[in-house]
Amino acid sequence: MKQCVVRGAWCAGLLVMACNRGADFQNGAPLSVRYPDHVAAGGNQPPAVEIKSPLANDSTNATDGSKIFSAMNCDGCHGGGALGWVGPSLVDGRWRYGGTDGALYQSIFYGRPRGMPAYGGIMSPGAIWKVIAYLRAQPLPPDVPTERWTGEARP
Amino acid sequence: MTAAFLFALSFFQGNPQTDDGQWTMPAKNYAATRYSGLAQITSTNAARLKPVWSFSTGVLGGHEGQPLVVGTTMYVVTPFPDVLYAFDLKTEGYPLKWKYRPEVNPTALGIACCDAINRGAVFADGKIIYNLLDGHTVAIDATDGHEVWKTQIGDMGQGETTPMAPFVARNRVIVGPSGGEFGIYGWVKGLDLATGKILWTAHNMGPDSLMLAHPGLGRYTGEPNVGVSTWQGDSWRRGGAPVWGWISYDPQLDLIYFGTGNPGPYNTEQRPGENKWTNSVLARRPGDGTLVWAYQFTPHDSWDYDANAEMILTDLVVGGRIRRVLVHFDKNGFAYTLDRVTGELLVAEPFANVTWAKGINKKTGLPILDTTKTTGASHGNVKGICPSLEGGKSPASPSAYSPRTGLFYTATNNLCMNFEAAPVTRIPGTPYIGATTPYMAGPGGNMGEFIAWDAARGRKVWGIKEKFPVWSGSVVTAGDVVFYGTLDGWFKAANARTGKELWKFKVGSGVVGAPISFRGPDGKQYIAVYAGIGGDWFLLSGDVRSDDPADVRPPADFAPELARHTSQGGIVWIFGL
Repeated sequence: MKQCVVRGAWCAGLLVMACNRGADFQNGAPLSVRYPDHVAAGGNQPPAVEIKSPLANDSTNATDGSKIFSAMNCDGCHGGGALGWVGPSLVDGRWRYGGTDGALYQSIFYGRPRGMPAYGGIMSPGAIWKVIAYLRAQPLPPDVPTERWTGEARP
Repeated sequence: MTAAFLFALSFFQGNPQTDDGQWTMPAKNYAATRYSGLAQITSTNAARLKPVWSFSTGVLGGHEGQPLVVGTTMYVVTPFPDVLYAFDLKTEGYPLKWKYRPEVNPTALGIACCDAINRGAVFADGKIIYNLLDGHTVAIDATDGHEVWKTQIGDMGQGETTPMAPFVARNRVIVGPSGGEFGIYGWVKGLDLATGKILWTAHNMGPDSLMLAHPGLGRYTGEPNVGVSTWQGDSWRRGGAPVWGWISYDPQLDLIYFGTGNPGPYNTEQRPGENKWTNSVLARRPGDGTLVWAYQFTPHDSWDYDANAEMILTDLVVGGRIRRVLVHFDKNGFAYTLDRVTGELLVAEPFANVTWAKGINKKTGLPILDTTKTTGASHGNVKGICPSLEGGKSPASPSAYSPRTGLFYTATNNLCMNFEAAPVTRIPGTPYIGATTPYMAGPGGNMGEFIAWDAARGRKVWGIKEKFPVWSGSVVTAGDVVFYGTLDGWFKAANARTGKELWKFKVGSGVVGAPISFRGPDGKQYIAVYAGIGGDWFLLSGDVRSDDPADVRPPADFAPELARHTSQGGIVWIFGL
């Protein structure tokens, strides 16, 4: 099975066509994003592409992404700084629906069950990648997995 | 006094001899007193209370609201996915008679602002009627659990969800939406009790025709279209005013009373004007929705002071005269006593620490603002606003009134906030908020207090300070015992006359539900309550959830100890002697 790696995918529609043409897919098989954490039945990974962000995870993209995160009202659910509110934290290094670039792109583009709206109709792929750059730029808290109570408030 | 008036007194104030031992509507009765006439549990024997039964609902969301007891069956609605359980109180262990599992769109989880809660059901005409989170009302046969009707009332695409408990008056099922954080165009609807058909829809702002208002007729304001003129442009169309709290009813006046929520967005500069009728109490005819009078507690709200808290109806001597009143503990920190016939303001005094206003002008009904606390995008970070937007009391924590003591009992929060507003764009189906609002404990450091209030004089009679905000409802009984719960998971009984704590029990999760009192088939008095922290505390507590490895948060910075005492989890408890 040939893995299709797409870089600089600015348009999801183009990406589908380019990949389907180039990859060794069954007739009619839709494009799929690879979810490396999923268990593959029979040990066979499904034909899937690995989508990489075309953007550098630099401070310019992160700053732009931060503004888009607010402008698209993402903070209304995920909280200021994406620390979690009615929606989950996006800065704890953990991902409900996969943390690869492709999985994050799909979460924003198509939405997810349990509340995530689909933004693909109002956000350009470039804007989605900038939001992802913003999230990638956030530092992980040092002691996420363990809580200790010593009578002192955490710093 | 006339015979009719004496009838009204006994109707509203309850009578231990005639209490049927059931709990068939959210607040026990039309007057929303949450007063139980049962008197076996007293301030003398309450220390002997013990748990007699518990049941895990299998759901982790915030367990607000209360069970119903109808005959020998107890009904429990869970948070999303809104399962309805019917328990057989005649059989040992109270096994299920049936459960109803609705199909609910999980998309609602992202449209509900503040956890996937449900505030309970109402029993009428042989049906258990409640709202599903995704904008539907269902009526379920109380005997066998089959669905009698299901009606779409809300539009999630516009930001509407429906966790409130429906109310029934004059064969109308009265419902309203949440969505003050999503730019909805707030409304109430009257559904036909028999069929679920929507008979009327009344908006809370906009033109008189859509508000079902007739200016100059009866007691309603003489100005036409105040629902438009108190807004800039068409900002009323996305101006909020949700209806997610409690409803009460005076059958003699034939008026329902309910509060409306905050205007949207939080950034005041996107909606200049008084923004009527957000943050208001509205009196409407249940039959056709006609608006009869309205009073706005917080004009041009700068602080998210929803007025969705209950309107408790009773008769009080105010200023030497007996008055038909409604009493309301507002998020803005003032307790209001109004003449419920006319809407005239009688008493308005702070029950919590208040910094945004110096008082309420009794003549004009308007707050006397401290203008340094006014917020808006051009005001930057405004500090030291009390109460916080959790409210001096949360509308999610309904209070109780005892005609025996003449006192009102309510949970309160002692939190303050900073408020930094920013411009925000409405994208339907996404939040429409525009503010960052960190909290801190108010003066004294205790973040909550359970208090008894004299609504005729506007003063606190006693209080029990709590370390954390108090977010549960309450019930008061003819045994002069009042019950409430705490966020760190204690369920407590106190002497309703003195405020002395009589008993407490650790129920397994923080309490944001409302206790009830009922008589079991064995003739004994019981108290039931939900454990299950959530609602706003799903957002605020930080790490109280353990079911999702992909969502790990630090504890709340203003209450880091809370997560030490509780995690999520829904449990129904019954206590008895």
